[in-house]
Formats: sequence, C-alpha cells, structure tokens
Amino acid sequence: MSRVDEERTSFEEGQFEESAEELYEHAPCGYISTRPDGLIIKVNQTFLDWTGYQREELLGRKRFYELLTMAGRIYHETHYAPLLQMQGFVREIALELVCTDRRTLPILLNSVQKKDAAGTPLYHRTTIFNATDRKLYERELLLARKKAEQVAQSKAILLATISHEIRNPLNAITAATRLLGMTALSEKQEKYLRILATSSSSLLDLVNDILDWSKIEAGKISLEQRPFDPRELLSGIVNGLAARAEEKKLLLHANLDEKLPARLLGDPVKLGQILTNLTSNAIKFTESGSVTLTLAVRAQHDDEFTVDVRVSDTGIGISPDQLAAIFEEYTQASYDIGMKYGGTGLGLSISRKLLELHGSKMSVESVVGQGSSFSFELRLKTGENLPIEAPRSAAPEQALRGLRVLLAEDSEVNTYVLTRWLERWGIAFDTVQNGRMAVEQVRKGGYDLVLMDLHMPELNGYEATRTIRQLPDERLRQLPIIAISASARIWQQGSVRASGFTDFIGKPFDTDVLYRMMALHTSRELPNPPEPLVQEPAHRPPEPIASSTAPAPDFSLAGLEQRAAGDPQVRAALARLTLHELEQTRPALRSALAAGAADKLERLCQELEGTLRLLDANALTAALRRAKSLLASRQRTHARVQAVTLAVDWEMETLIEALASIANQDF
Amino acid sequence: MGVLTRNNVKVQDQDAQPMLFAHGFGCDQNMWRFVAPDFARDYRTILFDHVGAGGSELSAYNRTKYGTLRGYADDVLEICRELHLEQVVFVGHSVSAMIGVLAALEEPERFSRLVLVGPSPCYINDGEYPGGFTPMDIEQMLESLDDNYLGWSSTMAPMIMGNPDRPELGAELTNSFCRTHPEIAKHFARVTFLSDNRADLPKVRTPSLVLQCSNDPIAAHAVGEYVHRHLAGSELVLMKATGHCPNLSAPAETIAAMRAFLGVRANRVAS
Repeated sequence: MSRVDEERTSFEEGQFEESAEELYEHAPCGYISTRPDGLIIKVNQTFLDWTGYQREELLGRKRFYELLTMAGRIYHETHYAPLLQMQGFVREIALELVCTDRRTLPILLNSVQKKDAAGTPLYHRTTIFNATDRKLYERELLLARKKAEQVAQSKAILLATISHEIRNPLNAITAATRLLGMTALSEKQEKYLRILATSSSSLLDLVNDILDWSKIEAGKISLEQRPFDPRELLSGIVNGLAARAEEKKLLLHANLDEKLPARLLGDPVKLGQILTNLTSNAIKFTESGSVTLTLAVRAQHDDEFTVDVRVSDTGIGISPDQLAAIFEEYTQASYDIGMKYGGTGLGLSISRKLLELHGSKMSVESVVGQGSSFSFELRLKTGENLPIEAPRSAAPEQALRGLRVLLAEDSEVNTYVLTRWLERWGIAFDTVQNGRMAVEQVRKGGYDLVLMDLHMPELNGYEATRTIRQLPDERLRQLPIIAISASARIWQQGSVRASGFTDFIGKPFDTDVLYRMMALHTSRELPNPPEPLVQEPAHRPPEPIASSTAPAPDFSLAGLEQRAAGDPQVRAALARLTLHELEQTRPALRSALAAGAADKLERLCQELEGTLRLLDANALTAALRRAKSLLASRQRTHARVQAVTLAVDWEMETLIEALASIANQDF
Repeated sequence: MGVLTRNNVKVQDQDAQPMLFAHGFGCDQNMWRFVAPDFARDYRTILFDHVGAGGSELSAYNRTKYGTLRGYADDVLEICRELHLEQVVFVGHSVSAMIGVLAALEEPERFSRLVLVGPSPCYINDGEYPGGFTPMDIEQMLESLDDNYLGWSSTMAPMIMGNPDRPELGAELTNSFCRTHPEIAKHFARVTFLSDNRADLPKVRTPSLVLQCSNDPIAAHAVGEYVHRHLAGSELVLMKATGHCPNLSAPAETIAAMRAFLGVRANRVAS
C-alpha cells in the first residue's frame, strides 16, 4: 500500500477529525462575537491566550472598544463602527489591543454583521489576526518611503537654492548685456554682443526652468487669483515667440474665441508659462508649416467659463510609444531628439504640474510626421467687474495726446494690444490689415506717424513703405514709419532701413520704448527741430560707429566699484543708496522741466552732482545741460521741452536699471 | 469650481424648510442614509461632503483654510448662500456639531435650529474639564492613522494598488463607504481633535438640541452635559443608543428625538 493510500484510509477512518468546538477555540486567529452595542458575548481561547484575559472577565462585561488603545478607540468609533453599520462588513482594519499586562498587540480585524430576517442586526462576528510582524514590516516600509520622500525633497530644495544662486549673476549679465547694447559698438562688437545676449538668455531660461520645477517639487508654488486680460496674455506669448517663428519661417497664429470675456480670474503668470512652454516646444519641433494657439469657450455657467486651450503644430510629431514618457522629468521623447534639439526636458513636466494646480490635465494627440496637438481645459471665473492693475509705464500719460497714428498690422491680437495703449495715451488712430490699405490710407494724409508690421498679406510692410516713400508728396517722405518686427536682427541687416523705415520696435512690445520712440520721431517733424535732442534718442541709431571716434560712455560703474573696494555687500548698499536718490529726484526733475522752473532745475542739478560724478554719468549730465540751456532760452517750445524731458528721463531710467541689478543681488 | 461641486452637495428639489446635514471626521454624507430620508418628507434636505471626504473636490483642499474649523464653517455658509437657504435646521454629527456652532455665530439669522449629535467642544482634558483624552492619546491616534491610511488596509487600498484615477477598480475589494484622502484625513483629524471651542458655546443664540449617547467613547456623557450647560436654552436628550454614531446604530431613536425637538419648538413659536 502506497503512502497516499495509507493517508486516504486514515482520513476515511476519521483519525484527523476535529470537533467544530476545538477548531473554534484553538484556530490560529482570534474570534469574538459582540452585540450590536459592542458587548462581547463569545470569545475563543486563542484570543484569550493572546490578551491574557479570563473568559469571565470579558463575556457580558466588556465592550470591544474597551480593549483597544485610546487611539484605537477613536478610530473604532469614527471609522470601524460607522463602516460596519453602513456596509454590513469591514475588512482589515488595523488596531491595537491592550493586553492584561499592558502590552499592546497590533491586530487586523474583519467583521460581519449578522441580521435577522427583518434586517435588524443581531450580533457582529469578528476575526482577529495577529499583525505584529506585519506591522513591523509596514513601519519599515513607511519609514523607507518617508526617507525617500525627504531625500527627494531636500534634493529639490538644493537644486532650487543653486539655481537661485546662479540666476543672480546671470541676471546681472543679461542686464549688463542690454546696457552694453545701448552704447556705441563696432560691427564686430555687435556680433559678439548678440552671441552674449542669446547665450545668456537661453542659459537664464534653463535656470528658470530648473528653479520652477524644483520649487514645484518642494511644494513651494501656489496659484494666484487676479483679473487678467486673456487677449493680452496671448499677445504677449505670441509676440515673445514671434522672432523664433519668423527665423524658421513658420506661421504663428493665435485664434481667440469672441465669447472669451475681457477679464478672467486666474494666475496669468503660470498660465503664460504653460502656453509659452507649449508654443516654444511646437516651434522647436516644427520645421515647416504653422503653429496655432487656440482659446475656445466650451461652456459658460453664470460667471464661470470652461475654456479649451490648444497648441497645435505641423511638426515632427511623437510616436505612440513615446507619448507617455514626454511628461516625465528630464525626459525627451528620445535620446536622439534630446541631442538634436537640446533643452532640459523639464518644460512639459513643469506645465503638467502647473496644470495639476489648476485641477486640469494635459492631453496630447500626435501623428508622426504630421504634427502634435497639446490641449487642456481650464475653468475660470470672469473678473468682468474687477479693474486690472494698470500696466506699469514710466511714460508721462498725456504728452502724446492728440497725435494721429496709422497702425498697419494683420494680427488681431497685436492690433488689440497696441490700440489699447494708443487709447490710453490719448492718440487718435486708424487700423488697416494689409500694406495696400496702408498706402491708400497714408495717401489721404493727416498722420503724424505709422506703425507698420513687416509681414502682412497682399502688400507686405517693406513694399508698402517703399511705395509710400516714392509718392510725390514731400511730407510723406518725412513721415516717420516704424517697423514692427520680432527680430532685431532684421533691422540690423539693413533691408528694413533700405525700404525707408525710420525705426523699428521689437516684439514683445516694450511700451515705454514705443512711447519714447513715438515722442522722439514726432518731435522731429516740428519746425526747427532742436538738433542735439535727436542725438539723444531713446533708441540709439544702430549705425556702427568706429571705435576710435566713439563718444565717452554714457556712464560707468567703475567709481562705484572703487568705492566698494571689492566688497559685494558695500557695493550693493552703495547701489541702493544711489538708486534711492535717483528715484527720489526723478519726479522732481520731471515736474521742474514741465513747469519750466529754471531755478528749481538748477538746484536739483546741484544736488545730483555727487551722484553724476560717482557714476560718470556723461549722458545724463549732457541731457541736463541741454535742459538748462533750453529753459534759459527764449525759443523754448512745448515740443522741445517735452523732448528734452524725455531724454533726461530716459537717462535716469538707464542708470536706475543698471543700479537696480546690482542693488538687488542677495548674498 | 462651484461650491456645489466642491462639496458634492446633494440637494432635494422641494419647497420646504431646509435641513442641512453635516458629517463628522472619518466618514462622508453616507452616514445620514438612515436618517435623512425620513426628513425628506417634510423638509428640503441638503447633504454634502467636507472637502477631502467622499465625493468632494480634493483639489479644493488648502491647508491654511482648513487649518481651523472656521474654514469648514465657511464652507457651510457658502453652501447656504449658494442655495439661498434661510431658516436652516443644521444637523451636525461629531466635529460638525462645532462647525455648525461656528457657522451659526457667524450668521445667526440664517439658522433656526441646531441639532448637535455627539458634540464635543474640546477633546482634551483641561483641569476640571473632562474632554476624555490626554494630548498623548491624541498624538498616538494621529500617528496610528498611518496604519490604516498608508499600510495594507482596506480604507486606502485603491491608492496603494495604483488606481487613484479609477477608484471603482478598488471598490469591490475594499470598504466602499467613507473613503478619504489620507493626508487630508490626517490633517482633519489633527484640526478636529486639537480644537477648543468652549469659549464659543455661550455666545450661541440659536435654539439647539444636544443628542448624547450612552457609552460614547469619543464624547462622554459629562461632555454632553457641559455643552448643554453652556449653550443657552439648549435641550439635552440622553439616548439609549450606545457609541458615537446613533444616526447609524439607532436611526429611529435619533429621528424621534429630533422630531420631538423640532415639533415642540414649532408649537412654542406658534403660541
């Protein structure tokens, strides 16, 4: 007889038979039964062995919760009991029993309600597992997880700190680069400066990305709620990226739903960040065709708008197996792509996290070789009745009032933003959407200045300007025509100037620059233009000046450095003091000039003397000298005073900007 | 996000005096399932989940706002405003009893009655005051929540099994009621059990009912007595029901006590 047969025989003979009673009492788990109010009415030996209680101490005397730790009692009453009563069972609740020797015993318990035919609970049946080992294991796991999270967080904080430290000097580099660009440079120097400008700004972008991402990781980012104008937001983004699109000869469209209100409540900075990231990605990965931003209102309930936001391109696309990976940190769709296009791979991950803060999620559809489309939904309230914080502008609001301007621009968004500013400044304007209409309109006459986009349908900006300059009317040859262009390079290449443009303004628009430029060029048209003022332009003419004949620098920080003797803290403090003085004097200077108060101007100049010397502020000194002589002369006209006021103000601003970048460095 | 979505508000479409039910820590509006239907006959019942519980919008959670019970009271008032509720009968269980007290102090004219089920203005013993717990008990409870929220336990299984987006996949395996976000629940527990609203009680002018269970381990009889003594003109009903949740364990007794209180008051107003 084989062993298996032997076992079968003994099983049949009942040698292994165990009474139900024996099984209940000594099962490897605790059993208890309780009345619905928790009073213990039956308990097995295993439970008694574990806890040290005698059967008669429990039966009819103790409620189950009384055997728990205080913490366990709270959990029992707030979670276990309600759950059991609602769903009729409870699974694997972790609690701790207090044994008679005051030891605590971690347990897992399962309970079921036994009900009568009418559904009234009769009693509860509970099985109890000893969870001592399991709990130790879980505690270890939890601890390991906590540690890992802490490490990840402190890494993110470290990254944020380092990025912040890098950003300070980098900001100073970009600021100094900008200032350098305002001085007279040789062609070669300009070329080097361009390299400096692009490299430092892309480095700054990179550092900003890392800083943003690590701030999000460290849980240090929250959303603001303030009213903003969605059209203006989109225009800022489109214009900010227009140069890159132009360089790649891509069409960059912005489609805005008419139903979109003029004011929405939200965080324009973070939304702008998401849109900029998606759009610049789209431009980066598209070689030909177009990139389109669309904001469409999908639904509206009372004052809440559901807006579909979409950025689509006709680029290289993403294969289905790479789609999931693109939202991961530091990941690009593939190694080759990282090599070819560069970037940190943080952009999409940041955007995704910023969207999570908005309670939204990004979706992406893509076909390899045809293009990608990233979209998400936003629910935003209108801020229709809330005022938007007035955009910062140093320009004196009224000086250009009454001017007549023609705006030739095919982009609706740009037209919207520009005309908002023109309105604000009290300038009368007409708008046209192409070059042919611009020429027609200019022919009718009456304009003091034209703002002309370079890329327009029918007749582009170059052709239109050339045509205008060839018209027989002498006045039209003098009419200031300002090119609107995303790329400063285009202006420097000379083809724009050759077409007859007077000047150019870059996108995104710096409204202060636009304002000053308009003031400058319209005052030129007035009879007897004060010659020296034209040499003190808001935008220095970019004609290269041979370095041997270069004028003295506008200002120098060498004196400040000398006084600080290499101590960065002293340098910052000095910069702050000087900055403060300039900011204090600036409005006083403006009003003295506006009032034609020669004595007041003289006094202010004397007060500024030390500062002017410290900064070698040649340009400002010269502007002030001209202002003084103008106020002393009998020939002063409103236009001349205005022009000199702007010149003084501009030089003040240049100094303030330079000082601010030093004063704001932290240590 | 609208208030009604944020708090997963379920409102009955009928023209009657509003009765607003607020659940306590550890559960959601489901805990009124044996009581609310009875009142739906003659009141306009409104149920909701506190942010972080049940079907509320987790993204609306904000540690600063919900760092005190006042944040939750503000939500109650926002719901009332959104639905234009007047003459509200507020029914609050456990910590929501105090949330109701705070709401009624903020806008007394909005509330006609408060029904406080198992209220406690302070869970920690303080001199003569018998809150029931020591600070150490509360700390241990807060620590032990991890065992059920983060360990291999039923309440949090869906999160652990990696289906946070599709809770229905976990629902079959686990306790399907009163699921809660572990971090929010821990914070809510801390805010609840460390709150002290004893000074607010004497300011209340809204007629109120205190429903006190026998053998309630969370809010003991002495605590119910304390609330009754300090709430001017309140009624105290000592129930036969045991434990902390008479709305689940003894719905009939709970309904009867509430109806007696609401009915008697109505008569008084009439006379």
